[in-house]
Amino acid sequence: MTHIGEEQLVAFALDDLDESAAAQAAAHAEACGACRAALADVRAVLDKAAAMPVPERDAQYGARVWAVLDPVLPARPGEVRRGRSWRWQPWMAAAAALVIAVGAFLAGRFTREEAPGAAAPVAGHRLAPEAIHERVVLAALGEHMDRTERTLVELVNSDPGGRVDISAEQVWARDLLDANRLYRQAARGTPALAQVLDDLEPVLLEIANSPSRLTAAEFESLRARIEERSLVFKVRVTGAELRARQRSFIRGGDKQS
Amino acid sequence: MRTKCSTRFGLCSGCPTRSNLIQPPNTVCALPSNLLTVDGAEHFVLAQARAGNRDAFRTLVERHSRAVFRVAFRITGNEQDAEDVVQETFLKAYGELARFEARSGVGTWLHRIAANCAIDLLRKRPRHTVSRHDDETAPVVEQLPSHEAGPERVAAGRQMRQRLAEAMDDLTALERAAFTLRHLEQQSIDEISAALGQNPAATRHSIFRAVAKMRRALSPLVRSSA
Repeated sequence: MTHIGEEQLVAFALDDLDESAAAQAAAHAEACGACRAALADVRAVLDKAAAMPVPERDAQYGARVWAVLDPVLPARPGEVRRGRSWRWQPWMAAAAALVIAVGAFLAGRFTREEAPGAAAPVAGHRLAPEAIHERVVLAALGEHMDRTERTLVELVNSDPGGRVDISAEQVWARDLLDANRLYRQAARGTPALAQVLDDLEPVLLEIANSPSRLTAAEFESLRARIEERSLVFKVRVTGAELRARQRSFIRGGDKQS
Repeated sequence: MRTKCSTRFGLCSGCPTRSNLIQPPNTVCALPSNLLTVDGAEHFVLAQARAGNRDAFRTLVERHSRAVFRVAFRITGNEQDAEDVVQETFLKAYGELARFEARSGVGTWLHRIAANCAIDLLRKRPRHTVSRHDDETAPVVEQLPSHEAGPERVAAGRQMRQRLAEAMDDLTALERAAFTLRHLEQQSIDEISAALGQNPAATRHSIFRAVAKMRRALSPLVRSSA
């Protein structure tokens, strides 16, 4: 008898399974004492979490919040706020620019068949701003794929004897995760690339959030997750395609300049 | 006698929203019936706020602050942080009023903003500084023991809360937010994914990891108390 997987058990307890999967899980739990006990365990934990007390705020709390907000809100929504500065981080501006750049690029170039000589518009001996922009985007995406590949390869090639220290890979995974989300957001109109980025996200999350020293069993489970999705292969292929486009782009630009 | 509604937004005590918009008792609402619903009233106030009516925005602040505080506290585990998150949430909401498409309720929208503000705050802060589990600084830990319970039961309850607080502290900001929005705020996976800017599979995984970590921490106590 195949037991209910732990992830499915949690989804079942939270009512997140579709009707047929929920019916199957319920029928199995009815017949299987171990899964029934595990389900009860998960539900007990959820109940305890829900019962965690939260300090109460009295009925006047909203008025007090307003008293603090009122002096710092601009006259109309959307205007620049006076008095208090936004907690805007410098990286957000770079990230926003990157999303716009990648989105614009992917919308046009990534899926389009290349016309010989059309890839790099030039003016005299100088590359046009669009061409420079596209080079930057190709390079950024290619770099992201390369770094992701290196992280995954390092991880799957680790020696599982005893505990495995993945703290270095975790630092890389955290950085990659933020970039991956930005690229994923921008790649909505490019299904193939979006799919690879989609597949990457939960694995990067898992690497980032795992304990930094894994037991052999935990490590094998993580490695199996990476391998079952052929992630290294997909990332390698996508990276190679991006590099090929980058090379052809540069050659096109060189020919014309 | 029909008395025309004299509240600022045209809602009266007959309004089923039972909100703080309601002012004079025994007055009759002069608004069309489609506004006599929670959604209708809220959208009316929202439209007023978007048009620059500060009193309307004040109404939203006064109405939702306590619930936003609850979400913020559940994610940050710290009262002062939760207070900061509440203020930041309404500041952001004011800036984003024009972009809010009202496909979800105002409360849901505000809770999403609060979750993101809480995540930002937690990420700026070193791990394991949450005071939720610190008996001296977190009065919440002291609150629960029932006066009717015996000393052993009180001690067991305290240990359970302590362990739960520690388990929550071990969650990443994203895991806390995803878990809080799903289990405690009952938002859907799609809503949470949109709020946190990740795909549904990643959201499910964040929730799973949160529950798995808490289960590991709490199972021995849950079993012994069963």
